[in-house]
Amino acid sequence: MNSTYAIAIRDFSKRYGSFEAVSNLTLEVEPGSICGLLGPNGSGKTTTFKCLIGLARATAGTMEVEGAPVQPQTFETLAYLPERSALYEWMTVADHLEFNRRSYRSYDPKRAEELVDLFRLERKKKVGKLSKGQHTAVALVLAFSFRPRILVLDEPASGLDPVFQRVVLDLIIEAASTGSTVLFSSHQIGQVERAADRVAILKNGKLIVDGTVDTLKGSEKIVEAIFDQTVPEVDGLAADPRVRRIERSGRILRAYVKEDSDGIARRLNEFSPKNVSILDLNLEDIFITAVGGEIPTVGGDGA
Amino acid sequence: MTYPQILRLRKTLTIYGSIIGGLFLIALMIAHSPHAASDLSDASKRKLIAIPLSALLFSAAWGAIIYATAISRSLNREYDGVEMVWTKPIARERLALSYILLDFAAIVVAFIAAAALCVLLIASLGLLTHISVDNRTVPTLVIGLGAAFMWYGLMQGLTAGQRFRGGVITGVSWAAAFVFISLAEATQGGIEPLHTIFTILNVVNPLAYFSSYSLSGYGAHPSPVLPQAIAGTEMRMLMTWSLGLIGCAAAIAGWKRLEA
Repeated sequence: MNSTYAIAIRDFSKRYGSFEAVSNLTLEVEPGSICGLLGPNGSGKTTTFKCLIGLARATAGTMEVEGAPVQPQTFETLAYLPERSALYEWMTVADHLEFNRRSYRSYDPKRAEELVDLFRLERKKKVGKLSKGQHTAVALVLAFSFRPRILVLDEPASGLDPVFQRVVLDLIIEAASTGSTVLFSSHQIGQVERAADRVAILKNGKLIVDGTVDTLKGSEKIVEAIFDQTVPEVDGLAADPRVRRIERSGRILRAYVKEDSDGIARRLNEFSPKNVSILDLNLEDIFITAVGGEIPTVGGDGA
Repeated sequence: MTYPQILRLRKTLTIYGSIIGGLFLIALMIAHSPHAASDLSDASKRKLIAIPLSALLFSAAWGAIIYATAISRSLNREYDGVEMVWTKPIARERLALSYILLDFAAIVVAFIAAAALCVLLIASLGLLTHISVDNRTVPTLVIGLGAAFMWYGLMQGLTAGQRFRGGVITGVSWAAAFVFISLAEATQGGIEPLHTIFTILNVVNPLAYFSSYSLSGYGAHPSPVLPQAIAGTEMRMLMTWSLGLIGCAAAIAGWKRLEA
């Protein structure tokens, strides 16, 4: 390996005609780490994955896995789980395992059997008769059955119930603990928050947030005030340089504060709220703020 | 890496085997019907029966051609699950070539199976010794299998680089094959410019190379539905295999360029 990064995407752009799906993306993932790629639908996550592993061609930029562009032999150590099911509907679960056994030198039959049991899959059942979640489970079994060093997982928990979502999370964390590198996307932000060391957020094909989960969460606090009646006008709060934005929802006012959250809390206390609390930012807050999503408000206007 | 294709071919060969097996049983019943049996029981008539091997191979080649078109879009078919096959440790072009070689082996099996049933039918009538290797045996074998391979290759070439399902193209190719031959025959000795156009169109029509078999002399006369330059037997043998190879090469190139 002639690179310190397990996955290195540099100045990557992908264009479909006049539409730029991904623009000038640079993302470097360190070996043994878990990187969560977040973004609304159509933000370019799947396109990035496809170009990274050579299913599509990048318009510009370079993409490397363990220091080199993806070659056929890279797939001996790289597992990819696509967003949509790419399984053969007419083949059984056992047939898919046999396909993997014949394809990878490092295929681990014992591990595959453990995973089949873990996801409670029926070996003789045709894939076409499985539910969406079971499709995902089969794809996960295939991805983890040859102990890859790099895992690129596009929506790895799609369609799974909460119990199996947790199983997927554990598999990802376990893989990283044994030295594998995981790059995955998910709409379930809680999962990403729990598993990922690092988070990148894409919006309209551009990287808008990139950092470790702890750094991102520590960058702001939320001062939340709950009032008996409607939220009063707090003069100058929105213009306060310590406040990045405020959000009103019914009787609740939330201020996203970059610094001096205690000072902002004291200021809100002057308006006699029922309660004022200082909350840590979670990844969902970071995501919503970053992508600029408008949250439907309950009984009031968002600010 | 070709495991799904092996399973797929096993399945299609089973279906093909059931169909030609069914046809064989029907032919067997007809051949052993009282009327046919009384004809064959006449020793003087039996002496006159001569069965050229080329005729049996010609019949078997139809089976191979039909089977070849049925499996001719194996690469296009993989597009539905391309994330699965293109993320295996094998180069795309090598994988495509493996598919083509496997398919070709299956086409040969289909040809041999059909030929074997033809021979078995003759044997059931006690006429096995009446089968003779004639001077049209080799051309029939080469052009018959060549036409199957050519059709297969052209369909692969047309569909492998496409994102859409190519089943319609295969279906239309059968209709076009018969229409072009019919039009070339219909305009022969009549509207010469039109005849020329249709014979040129028939250059890429596998049936035009294959269908001119007659007991009076397959290959003895140039095919009337092809341009003169390639109507002779040797050229037809060369053209079928060459066009098949060109189609396969185009398929591999198209599959390599394709994006998921």
